Amino acid sequence: MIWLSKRRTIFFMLIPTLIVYLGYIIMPVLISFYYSLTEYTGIGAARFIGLDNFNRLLNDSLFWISLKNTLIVLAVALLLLLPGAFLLALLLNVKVKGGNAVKALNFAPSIVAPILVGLIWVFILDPQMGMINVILTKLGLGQFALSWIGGKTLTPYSIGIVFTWQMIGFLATIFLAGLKMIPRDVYESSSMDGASKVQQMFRITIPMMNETVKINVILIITGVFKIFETVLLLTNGGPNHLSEVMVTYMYNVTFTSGEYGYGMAIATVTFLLTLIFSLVYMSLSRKSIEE
Amino acid sequence: MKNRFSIILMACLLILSLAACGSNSTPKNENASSGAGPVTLSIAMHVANVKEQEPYMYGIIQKFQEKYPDIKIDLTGAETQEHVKKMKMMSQSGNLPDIFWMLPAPAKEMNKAGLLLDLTDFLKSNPEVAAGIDSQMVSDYQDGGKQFGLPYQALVTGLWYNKALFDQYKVKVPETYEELLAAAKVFKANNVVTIAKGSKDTFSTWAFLGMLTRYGFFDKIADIESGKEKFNNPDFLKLFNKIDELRVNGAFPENVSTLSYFQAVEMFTGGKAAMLDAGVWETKKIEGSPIAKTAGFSWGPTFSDGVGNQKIAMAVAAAPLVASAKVKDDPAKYDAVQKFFAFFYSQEGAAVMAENEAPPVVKYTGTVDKAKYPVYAEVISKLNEPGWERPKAQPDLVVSEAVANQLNDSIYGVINGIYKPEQALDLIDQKVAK
Repeated sequence: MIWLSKRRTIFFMLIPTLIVYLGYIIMPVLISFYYSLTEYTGIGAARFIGLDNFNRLLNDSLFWISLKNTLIVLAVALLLLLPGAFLLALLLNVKVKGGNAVKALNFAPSIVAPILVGLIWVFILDPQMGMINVILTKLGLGQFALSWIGGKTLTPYSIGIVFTWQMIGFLATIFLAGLKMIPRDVYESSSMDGASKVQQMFRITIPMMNETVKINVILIITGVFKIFETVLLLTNGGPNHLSEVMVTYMYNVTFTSGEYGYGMAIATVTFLLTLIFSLVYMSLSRKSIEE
Repeated sequence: MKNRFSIILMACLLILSLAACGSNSTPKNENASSGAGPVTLSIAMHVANVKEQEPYMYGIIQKFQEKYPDIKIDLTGAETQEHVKKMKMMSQSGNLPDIFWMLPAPAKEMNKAGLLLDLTDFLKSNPEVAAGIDSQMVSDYQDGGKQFGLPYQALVTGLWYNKALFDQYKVKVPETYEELLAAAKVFKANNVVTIAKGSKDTFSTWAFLGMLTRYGFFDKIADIESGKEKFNNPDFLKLFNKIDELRVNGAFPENVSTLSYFQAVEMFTGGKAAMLDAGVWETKKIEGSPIAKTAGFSWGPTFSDGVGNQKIAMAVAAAPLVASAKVKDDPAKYDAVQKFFAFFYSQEGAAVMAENEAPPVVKYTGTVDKAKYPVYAEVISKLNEPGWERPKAQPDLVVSEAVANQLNDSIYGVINGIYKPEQALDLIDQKVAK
């Protein structure tokens, strides 16, 4: 097997993967960046216009609304999803009868197609026929029956909650795998030294889960910046783009309005923001470990 | 030896990968012959399930294949937006289907890029087809001296109404805006939706686009596009103020912002709404619903402060059926395309349309069984009603995709209560300026 570990052989073995990666990831990113510098309707030749599309973004109120909504969803996800998934993983880590069935149930929303997730939640959140408002009205709490979706303010928060529901089982499974990696003897020796359960949690479990937390935060950031089907089904970005997130707005501009160049400028900014958020978080978490 | 073997293996993989990445220069229809023998025509439509959603097209294709057994049709379909996106991408790779449905604005651009077949010769060699289609509809798809497409179907839009609900609440079926507003007030007081609409599908603004033509849209649009006039002009503002007035008086569903067009149709066919903003493509669905016997179709209200003739019936060309310019490179395929167009616009084709309760594009000489198809008979009688002028086109079909999208968005912005009428019109002006 020595021949396999030769640098030249490794390079050759990587070539097919690199070609696929280049063809399906790098090239489309570069091509969309090129089109972001053009005026293009998707037919005929594109006209090079430099950074005009990016200038237009600065004055496009709908773009800022979509960015604001995306950041609201991100904040809701980070506040609810991360601690929620961690707590769920702690619960799932306790050995109980039927624990495996509970684990499977928790994971179920992650394997449901996002388009179906949207459909399910329409029947829960719709202000007229949705389950929440119907129950509230029947309980005589009609004043709390709000426009969870389709109104002017609450939709991005609702999307954040739907995203949390959809992802919690998946992230909890990753946390659970992280918990299983922590050696038992660390807890045993700390118990012998008199550490309480709370102390074990904050001094052993959380610090030793640092890498897992990092993976989950990156998954949340990248997941939020590509939310599409859920919004499409819940509101289609409406009313009048007020619940648009970056990907749905990009889709609307590109494929409904036929402004491919401008749409690619939004796609480029979305890509860059995802990259920046992930890199900043990774660098901050690295710094906190070094300190 | 092992080393050499691995290098050879890698080289083979590399060649395979490169071959996979290379452009597909093979024609889509490999059995498209250049001489006699079987020919396969690819046809792409704007609905996901052609058999269910466009049964007349499906029926025409079946009948065509029976008549010409040597011509096979490879029929594909995708939801409208997906279909348009797909056609644009295929145009970039030079792999357009032989015949396909397209929106007018991108079809015009494809024609400019030389991607579409000029059907002028076809019309010259088939004078009965040219004579059978409304001349306005034919000229809608002419540009740069070329006939780049022919109308796929007649776009007939307006307001469907359920007479039973009007009778129940003793309200007159509205012919004027004042009557519509009065009806909305009565229906609101009785928890009945006046006009079923769903703003999740922003394209569903047909009746309001028709109303725009009653405020002089076609007198103004050229000046608006050249910058001499604004969308935010006193006439259009009157209409947008009226849409707002209808909203304030509860004419639309309370959850209009989370309803889809299809839910709005269900609302109407389920007897929960007095009117529906849609077109005659819903004829078959309404015919099969519990309200079939009491359903009627109107061209929408007229306006006392409108501009010009108020008796405008929105019966225009919907979108063109076009052919790829490449079919001309293959004589057998070119011949098959001509045969298909000739069949589609023949009386045989029109009969299939009538069987499926769609308004034929050509002047149909057949009859409609009123007892069997009361809703369809009502539509046909509306189409034949004298004294109604037909506009050049539906307003959103004569502007760019971006402006059309904003126009729909602005109408729904007022219906949703998100935009004030002036603001909604300003947004269209901003799009026109871009």
